[in-house]
Amino acid sequence: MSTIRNYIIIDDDPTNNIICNIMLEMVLGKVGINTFEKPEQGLLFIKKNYSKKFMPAVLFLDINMPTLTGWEFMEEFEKLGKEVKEQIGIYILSSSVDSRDKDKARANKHIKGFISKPLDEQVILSVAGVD
Amino acid sequence: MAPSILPEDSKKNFCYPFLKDFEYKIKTLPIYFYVTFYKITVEKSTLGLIFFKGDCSTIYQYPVMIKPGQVKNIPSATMPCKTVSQFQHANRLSLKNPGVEKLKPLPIMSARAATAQGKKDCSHLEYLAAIVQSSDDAIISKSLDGIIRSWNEGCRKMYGYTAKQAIGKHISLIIPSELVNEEKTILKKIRNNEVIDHYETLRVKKNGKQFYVSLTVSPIKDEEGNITGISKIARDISSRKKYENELIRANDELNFQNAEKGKRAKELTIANKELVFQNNEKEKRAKELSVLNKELAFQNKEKEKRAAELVIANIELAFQNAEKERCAAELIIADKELVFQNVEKEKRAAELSIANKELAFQNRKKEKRAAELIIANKELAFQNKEKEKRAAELIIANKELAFQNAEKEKRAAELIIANKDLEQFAYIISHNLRAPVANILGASSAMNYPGLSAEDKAVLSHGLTNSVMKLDDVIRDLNHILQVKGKINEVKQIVYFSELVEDISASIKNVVDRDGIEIKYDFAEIDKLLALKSYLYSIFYNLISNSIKYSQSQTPCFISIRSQITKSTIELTFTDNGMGIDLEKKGDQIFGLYKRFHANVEGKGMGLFMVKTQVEALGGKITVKSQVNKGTEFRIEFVT
Repeated sequence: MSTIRNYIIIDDDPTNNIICNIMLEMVLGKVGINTFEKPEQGLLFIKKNYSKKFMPAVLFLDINMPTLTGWEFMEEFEKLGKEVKEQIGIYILSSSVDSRDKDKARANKHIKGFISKPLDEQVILSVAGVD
Repeated sequence: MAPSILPEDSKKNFCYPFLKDFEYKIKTLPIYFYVTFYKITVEKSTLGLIFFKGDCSTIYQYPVMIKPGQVKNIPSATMPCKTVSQFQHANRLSLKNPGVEKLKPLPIMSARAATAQGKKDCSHLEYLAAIVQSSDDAIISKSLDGIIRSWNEGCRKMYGYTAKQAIGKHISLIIPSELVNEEKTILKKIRNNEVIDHYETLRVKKNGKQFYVSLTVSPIKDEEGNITGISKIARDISSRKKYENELIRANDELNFQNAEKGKRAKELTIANKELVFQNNEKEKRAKELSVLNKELAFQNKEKEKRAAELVIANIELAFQNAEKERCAAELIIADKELVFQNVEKEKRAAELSIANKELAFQNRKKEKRAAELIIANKELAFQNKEKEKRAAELIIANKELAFQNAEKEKRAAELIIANKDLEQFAYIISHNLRAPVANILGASSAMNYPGLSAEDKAVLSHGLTNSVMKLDDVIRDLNHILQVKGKINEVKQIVYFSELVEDISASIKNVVDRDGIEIKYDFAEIDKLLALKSYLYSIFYNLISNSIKYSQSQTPCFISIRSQITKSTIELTFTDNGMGIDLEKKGDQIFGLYKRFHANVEGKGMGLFMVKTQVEALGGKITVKSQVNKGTEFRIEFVT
């Protein structure tokens, strides 16, 4: 399996987003990264870019956001087309260490994993599918 | 003048004047007189009738008019007249019911006295003899040995013998043989100087016929008073005797009939008693019969009803009879079976008799039990009353308990909410504390990568500083929140709502003036509350600044604050015309820590969390109503 080259980050915390960008590039080199502080904009981007062409991607999704929480985002994501959902592997990226959040993530079939911040090299390699 | 021969007491007699008038005649009579007075009343006239009776048995009558009346022509001459009726006849008096009253006989003069005064007069004796001879009464004189000496015309008429035939014969000639002894008794009395007056006896006629006579027997004395003979005056009383006998017979008959009547009366008395008893019995019976009749009448009605029913029943019966006849044949077979069964039943009956005795014994036991049960029932009734009282008390206690349970449920619900709040709080704290820590870890780790551009290093360094500051903020917030929860015991004071609003308005005067914000309040009902002033200030400040922060960009912000008081609460209402919140989506999170709903408005998500925490610390409750793009209303309720 080839390494995934497209990354989407949805988190209201700009500091986290900067760290994620730098870490992805440091580990994987030049990859496509789209960062959204407002989840609504992230949803629009996905609808617009992933409906027609095949472009596997990883989405790092925060939970605690003021206008749309990670869970609410997932409800909206559910409504998207089958091909869209198949292309995008979603990982929860949260500062939370609460087991309830992890249980909830595991119960959702579209969520591939729960990652506790910060994002490190090991995790990036695993998510990207690098052996 | 010759002395009066009338005795002194005769003057009192009503006939005295007439006696006086007659005195000279009496003087001429040489015999002893009895004078008898009769008073006769005839047609309202009173006649006096005086009888003189001498010993020769000649009666002289002398009627006198005592009171003048209608009766006239009463002869005043003296004439021989024996009876009152002869007097009436002689005087031609038709007397209807004459009142005859016999008055007391009056002795007028003794013969001796008359003789002593008068002179002996032979012509006098001749006169007397004439009287005797003409008398209707039979007058006999006889010697002491019973030889008849004189025999007047009256004797001849009465006895049938002539004077020639009688004189010289013994008196037994006219005395019935069985009465001879009677004559001896009369003689004896005469010798003793007694007078026999109106002695009634039997005499016999010449023709042998016996008849009744009334005898007056007197002794005949000589001048010296020696008894020389006997005079006998006889009067025929046969007709009177006949009447008497008839009367006696009638009397006997009457007595017999009276006796019969007495017997009958006794029988009738008994019969009457019997009748009375029977009448009583009959009345009793009649009453019983009346009752029975009513009963009968009732039964008759019943019977009529029954009869009607019977007619119907008869029809039914006729039908059933036909059925029965058919069944009879079957019954004959059944009878044989029955005979067998009867034998069985008799066996059973014997068994039952034993069982009955057992039952009787058990019944007695049960009666004893029943008596015990009655006592037990009374006890139970008493206990029931006690239980009812207890039940009433328990109902009250239950109500109290139900009330307390409701209170406890309310408390439990409040505690569950508080617990959830606490959990949420712990979750938020862990998340918000860890977020900057995670950033610090991430940034510091990335900084160590070789080949990191100077530009990236600067960005990471800035992120590092931000995260540390954020960490510090969170720690400060935590401190602030925990302080609120722990400050409850601080001193409360009277806080005036109007003062709070005025102070806050003044502190944000620049913003208010710049954006044309209008803050209105109405605390007319209640303007004060006993509370921690810092909390109440924080509540008012956060709500007012929230309204300003989330106002609609096109419309000037308008805030209205109002107080209300009820029996047990004081209410504060904050109303604005801002952006509002979609409560359907976010309602459960609106008072959460670090919850923010508007991405393009600055904020930590602490304000409403703090408001809620402080309201609750003051013992109040906060609720929210909101409509997107219309406005929001917060209602705070403090229990007083």
